[in-house]
Amino acid sequence: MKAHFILLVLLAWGASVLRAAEGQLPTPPAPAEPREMKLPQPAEKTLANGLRVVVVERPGLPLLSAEFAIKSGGEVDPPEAAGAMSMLSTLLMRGAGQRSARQLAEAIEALGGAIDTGAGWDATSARLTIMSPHAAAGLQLLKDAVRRPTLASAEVERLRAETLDELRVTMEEPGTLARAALARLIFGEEPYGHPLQGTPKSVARITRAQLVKLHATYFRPDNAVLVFAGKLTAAQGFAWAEQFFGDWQNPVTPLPPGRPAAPGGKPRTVIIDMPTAGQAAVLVGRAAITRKAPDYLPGLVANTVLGGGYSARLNAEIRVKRGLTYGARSELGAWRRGGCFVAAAQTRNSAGPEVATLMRAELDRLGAQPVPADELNPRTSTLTGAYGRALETNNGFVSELAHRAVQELPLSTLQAFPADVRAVKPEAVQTFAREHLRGADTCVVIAGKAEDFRASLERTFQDAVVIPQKDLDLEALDLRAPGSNR
Amino acid sequence: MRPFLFFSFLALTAMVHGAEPVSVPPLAFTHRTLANGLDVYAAPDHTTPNVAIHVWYHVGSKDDPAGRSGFAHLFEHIMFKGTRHTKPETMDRLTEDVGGINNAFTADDVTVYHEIVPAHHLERLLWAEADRMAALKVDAHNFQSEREVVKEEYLQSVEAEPYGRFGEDIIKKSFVVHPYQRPTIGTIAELNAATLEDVRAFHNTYYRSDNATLVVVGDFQPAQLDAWVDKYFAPIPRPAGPVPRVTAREPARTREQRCREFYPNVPLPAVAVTYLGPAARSADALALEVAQEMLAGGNSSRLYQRLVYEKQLAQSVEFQADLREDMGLLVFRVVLAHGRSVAQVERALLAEIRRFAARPAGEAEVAKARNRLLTDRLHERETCQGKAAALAQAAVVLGDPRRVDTDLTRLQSVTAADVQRAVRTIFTEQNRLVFEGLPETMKETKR
Repeated sequence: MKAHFILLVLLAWGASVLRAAEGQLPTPPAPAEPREMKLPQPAEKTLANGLRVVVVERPGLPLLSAEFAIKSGGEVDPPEAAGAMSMLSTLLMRGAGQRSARQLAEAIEALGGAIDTGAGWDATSARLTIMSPHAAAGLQLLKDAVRRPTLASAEVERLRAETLDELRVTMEEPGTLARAALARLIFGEEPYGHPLQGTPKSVARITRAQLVKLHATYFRPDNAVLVFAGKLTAAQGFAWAEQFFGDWQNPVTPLPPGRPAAPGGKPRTVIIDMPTAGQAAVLVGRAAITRKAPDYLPGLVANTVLGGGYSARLNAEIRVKRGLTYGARSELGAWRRGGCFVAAAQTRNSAGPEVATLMRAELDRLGAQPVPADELNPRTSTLTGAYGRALETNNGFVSELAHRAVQELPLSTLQAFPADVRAVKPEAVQTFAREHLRGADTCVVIAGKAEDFRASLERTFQDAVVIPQKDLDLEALDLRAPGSNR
Repeated sequence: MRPFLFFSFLALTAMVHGAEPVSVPPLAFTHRTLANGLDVYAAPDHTTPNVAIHVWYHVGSKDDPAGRSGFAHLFEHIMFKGTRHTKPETMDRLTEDVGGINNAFTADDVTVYHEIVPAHHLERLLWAEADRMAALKVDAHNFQSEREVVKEEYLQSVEAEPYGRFGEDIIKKSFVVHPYQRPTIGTIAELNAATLEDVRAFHNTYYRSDNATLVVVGDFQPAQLDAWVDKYFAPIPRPAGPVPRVTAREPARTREQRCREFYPNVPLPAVAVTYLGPAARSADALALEVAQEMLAGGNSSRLYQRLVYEKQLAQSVEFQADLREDMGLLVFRVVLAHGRSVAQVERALLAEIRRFAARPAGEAEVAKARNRLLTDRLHERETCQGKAAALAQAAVVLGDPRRVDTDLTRLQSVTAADVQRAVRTIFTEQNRLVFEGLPETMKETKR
């Protein structure tokens, strides 16, 4: 075997006429016995004020991550003030307690640490990452940021100007524009229909009073979780939680109920005509399921088979087989009151409609036939493998645990996830695809240079609405600026 | 041929301004060189169920053949398209399908292939990496199809990205002679010109055992790894003759240069300032890394504080001390805040650079940068992938694998004077290129 291998090596390239006999070619050696993944068990405790605290002990490197998460995100942005929670999350580190924005940045960075803040759907978080000997000093800053942000007018105005500039840049990216437009088509008004960061119009409108009220309303211990992972003991984590957050009182008013999701309805095809775009972004999506839906796991596996990796169907068809993109992916967003499935790729402008058609065909194929076992097993392995790699880091642990705590899922799913994923049957995946992923039910958005694909568009998407980039209004349900030509 | 273990008895410690020291366990690794020249580094880690495999080839985009800009990177894609013994995408079957992952990247000086797999799959990946090192074979259909993918990668990263073409032009304009002037991704015309014959020649020239480094970190037994490496890599013959190397030398800059380009998808004007700098192995490299952190490494960094926060002149500020094998390029990139003038922002940026070079910083500012860098390196050591990358970088690019540990100690002793000494000779007017990237709409209007 070895000699044969050497011979082939020597003949490499020049040997197309000297074919080795089939069956004698070297093949990969068999894998050894699999080893078990050992996950540490999280400890948890709820403080008297309702703050839920979770700790994972990971001795080893002198590092610690601590995530403070509010169980409310961009979905609670006031109407007309899309982007408010995102703005508030940034302002947490722009002055808090006795420190100015600059002093706060100096203090955390002098420790070699970072406090990263951000708003997602259903959650707003502030995450401390720091060398463990400096954890207490870092937690003091985290406490100030979360409990006592200054929210100074000057900082609000500064951040507004920064955000508008950032939007000036990102609104030139075909992918960003297409994604924002698709969310509006899928979800209509609210709560998940706007960009998390807001739109140029909404960011211009947000007031300081709205931000102060948002903080007072949602930042409260009974609406929060605190997760630690790293070099600490559970007892130490609980003691720190008590020390920094134990005396925090809840407001007497109850937490306001969330608004129900109201998906926008009919499938539509919208073209955003960007005359200078170097490439077209193609998105196909529709409303799907909530995080607690009984078919969440089949949905997750269905998404993985379609677009959860290099070897998944969308990338195999669009990139590997046809060379039409650098990457095609899909994702299943599943939140408290709604969710959506989105497939995405960027392609040469001329191929925009072709890629959208290919995506829809793959959605239908998943509903038409059960996924064969020799495809399903590799794809679920992709999912469980990525999960295992994420849990090599402290940040991976706090992300996974904070997500479960925020969505009020049992923490035992941390251990159970790989087995639960492997237990999903092909029939369940097919049923999910039939119920939630029918190609004809999807909305399509192509953001690119329309001139380059007008002919193929007329053949394949006769009902497409073309909106010039300058007339796009992300706040309007039909995405058109009032008064623009139809 | 015999394994050699680098012992490091000293626990590395780092002081945080007035706090207790942080100790970092050294990365214990072994090294051996096979008869065919392959360098092998191994570091067992039984806290993970995974193993990371890295193969670094000492060839990068600076080695693109004449008239084939982008070829080293195109070739990187081709390495996944089959061998004499395997079909295209075999790497994905051996990684993704079993819960692993693979990828590769091309830099100016190196091309890196890496996988992370559940540890019981290690032998299969060693087999596969040896196989594509020795027996790559790609047909015309797969070659052309993958070339289309690379063209899409070009469109996505350069044409569709605001400031994408500006970024490419910064590199092109910063070098006069050295092939570092060629963007790694290449151009559509030169990608179209590439042939299967080019693929064959490139593999023969650079993808050889004596131009490669294998690094394995994770859950394995060293004796078992050695046996597998001997079985799969040792039979690969060492070609005769040396590996060709770039010999071009970039001349020193003699006077300040200024230039300007207009772009369709640049929403706000941008300014880049570049300086030529020392090579990656320079004694000043760590001081320049600290300088990078002090200038633009966080929200308390100088440029963020002055240009973005206080004066609100910039939407974003970046600074990178990109030290490469032959020489370095230090690049400042500023996107203007809305309504600011290019001249005003340039003046403010250049004033900050001058101030930084003229006077040493306070000790607290340097300590802050050192602590941030130390935390980054600790995070890198959380995963077998991070450890493998750090070890390979030290061995291949820095020329001494022990620097994976010793740099942590050296980093902690970088002083304000070291930083100032390193930048003083670089941040000069004659070594400066100022390049404006402006929206096309500014062509007609006054600046």
